Amino acid sequence: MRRLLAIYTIILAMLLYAPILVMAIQSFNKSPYIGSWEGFTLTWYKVLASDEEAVQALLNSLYVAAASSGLSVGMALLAGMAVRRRRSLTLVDLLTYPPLVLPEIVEAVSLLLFLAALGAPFGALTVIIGHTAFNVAYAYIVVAPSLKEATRYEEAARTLGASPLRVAATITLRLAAPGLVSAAMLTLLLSFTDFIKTLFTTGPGFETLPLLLWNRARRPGLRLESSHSALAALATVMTLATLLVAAAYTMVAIRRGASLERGNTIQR
Amino acid sequence: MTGSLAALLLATPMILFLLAFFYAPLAYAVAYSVEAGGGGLLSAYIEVLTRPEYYGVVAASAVNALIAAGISTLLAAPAAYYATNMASPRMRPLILVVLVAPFWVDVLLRSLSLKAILYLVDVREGYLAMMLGLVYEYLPIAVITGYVAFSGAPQRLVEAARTLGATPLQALISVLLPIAAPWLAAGAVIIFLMALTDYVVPGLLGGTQGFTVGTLLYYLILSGDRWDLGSALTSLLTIATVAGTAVAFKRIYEVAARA
Repeated sequence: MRRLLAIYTIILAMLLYAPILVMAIQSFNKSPYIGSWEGFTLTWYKVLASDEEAVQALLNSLYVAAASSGLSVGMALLAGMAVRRRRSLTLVDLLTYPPLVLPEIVEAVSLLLFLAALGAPFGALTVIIGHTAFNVAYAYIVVAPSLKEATRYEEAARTLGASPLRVAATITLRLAAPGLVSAAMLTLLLSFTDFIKTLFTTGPGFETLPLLLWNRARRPGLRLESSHSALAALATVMTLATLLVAAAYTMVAIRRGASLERGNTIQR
Repeated sequence: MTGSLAALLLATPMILFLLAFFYAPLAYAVAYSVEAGGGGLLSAYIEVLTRPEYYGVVAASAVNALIAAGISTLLAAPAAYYATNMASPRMRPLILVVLVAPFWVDVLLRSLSLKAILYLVDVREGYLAMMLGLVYEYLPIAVITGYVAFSGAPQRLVEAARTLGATPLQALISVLLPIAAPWLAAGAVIIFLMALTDYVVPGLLGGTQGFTVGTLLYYLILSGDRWDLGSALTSLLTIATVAGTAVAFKRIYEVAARA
């Protein structure tokens, strides 16, 4: 039973990674045809680096992700500070749940109708607003628990004579740091890979990497079965970047979970 | 007391932001949809619900989403169980990271890669490719929900049942499933809602079959200029989501309360 489940898990993992690996291998293939290997090449990466549209889209994506992540973590940190001494569920908690469960396209359509009614100029700013509307909720659920956790130790530090500034710097921020880092990585990822919200809130001329990929993947004549290798190269770069951040994020999250558990054991 | 009031002020930026760019748009979409149809109040809703080219898409999309949610939940469950209860404690987080990490790779990229693989085995865009794409996309989520479901069902209980003479199958059916089932169902509801409104997978892998509520909304709003119907459909989805998650999580609370 146990061995059977282990084998099953391994097969499942292989199935999950097979498409990603094929894409990565294709990006180094001299032949533009998937399935016929003609030798190693970096041509597709050179094609990609000299593709001004793709480079601009990358810069746009990074800009949106950084702005949205910064805004979200900042607002979530403040909100977390505001309610961290309350035991029960607060209004702030309740407001952050719906953005987590509502289908993204519903949010996106509503925001589009709303912004259009306001006459907002669609572009980078509206995309950042759109991403932040879900990012801030994710940031809050990650940041708030670590801030609550810190209150216990602040009392002790204050009783022992530490100044408020010193408590904030050495206790609060230090204990909240893993939560803040997790929230920053999570929101960066969510924004960087977001497609639907971006599609509905962008304006003419502002394209992020997912939008560029979508447009090119759908463009006739550039289908994946043939000369799609520059796309494969782009996909590989993006995949590698996201997987690295995702692995780091998950590791931080798990380690934080473990240390919280340990903290609770000590308390008991 | 003034101190805690000042502290509460810190929450205002987030509250105002969510009110302005999450709740106000939702309320606006509902208000807009009620009046938007050409033929008086609620006429957009009547049109969406009575014309087969709209409700047909919604129904077909719901069936597909249900199948995808069921299959991905079932496929992920054994691995999630292995990761939570059977693997050595040191391996557990690693297995989870490995199985969940693909979720963070952009859906577009994963669908493109899957399309490449499917071409190799001569599966072209169409119904099968779309369903495979949906299951592939949501497997990591199903692993997470499976993980949540099974971490509430400790191996101890299964071992106790085995010691008392239950066969592995009996232990699975009478001990494990009653604990895990409501959580697995709640996870499937979440996946169903995501699959129902999927836009990327049907667009890239579905070919002419690739029509879901997500693509329908895209055509109504961004290319068809039928904002009245789009807003009505959006409002119906909001209601369905709230109802669906409420029902799914109510069952969890009931089971948790009984346990």
